[in-house]
Amino acid sequence: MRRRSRLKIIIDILEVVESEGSARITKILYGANMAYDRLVKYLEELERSGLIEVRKRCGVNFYQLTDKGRKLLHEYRRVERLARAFGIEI
Amino acid sequence: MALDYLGSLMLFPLSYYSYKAYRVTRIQVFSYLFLGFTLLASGTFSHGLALTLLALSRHARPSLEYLALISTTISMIAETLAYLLIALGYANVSRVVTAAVLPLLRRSLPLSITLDFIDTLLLTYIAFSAFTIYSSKRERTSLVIALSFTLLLAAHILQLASMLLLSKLLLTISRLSYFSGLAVLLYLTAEVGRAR
Repeated sequence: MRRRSRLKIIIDILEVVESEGSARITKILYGANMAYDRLVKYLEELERSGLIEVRKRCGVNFYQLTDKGRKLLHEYRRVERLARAFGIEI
Repeated sequence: MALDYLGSLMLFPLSYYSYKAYRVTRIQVFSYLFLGFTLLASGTFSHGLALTLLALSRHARPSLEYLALISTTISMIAETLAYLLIALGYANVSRVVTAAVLPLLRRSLPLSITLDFIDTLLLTYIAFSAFTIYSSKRERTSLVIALSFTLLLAAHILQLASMLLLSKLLLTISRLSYFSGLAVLLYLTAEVGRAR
């Protein structure tokens, strides 16, 4: 099986967060199919890059997409369509 | 003339999306496609400009004829380079294609026929690659690309034939085929732009 690229992992995380609207870490864990430690590192990085934001509710962290994150997802979907047309693996 | 201007307008969005794709993914192939489509758009625009200058030179200064000649040459070279870059994008290996093309450039055939012949070879390779990708992935958009490059290939074969047979009819059909190929690429641009 082909390994997922870094970009694809980021997109998978963002897609789970987008589909949930506001997602807990366990939901992202299953949705993006990742190990906990690795996911935490990615979430920290995405938060630093301003692609997601964390809201605390009843002591639990909920992750949400920022406008920048939504824009990246939107651009990625276009790129994916172009890549598929040319047979390019992302 | 109008088809050339319209054609270049059709190609620029595809070039823009290829650039965006390169910025997001940093995959080298997208940079080849970006440069290729940009050159193709510039070449098509330059060809339109050459025809405009030629039309004007009938009533104005003869120096415009010289400018038209330069524009035509630029457009031909830009087009060949564009196909070379797109072919490199498909091959993803530069050495093989460059080695095949360089000896042709050294031949003493007239420039336009030589470049047209190179374009035909490159487009044959591009269209073949596009059809191979379509047959393995069965993606509708891959078929769109294969179809557009096949139309561009047909245009070049017809153009080559028109130059050898001195047929105006073949040249007109060639330009129509070229424009149809660009129109199909525009459809792809619309498909990419529609992604949510």
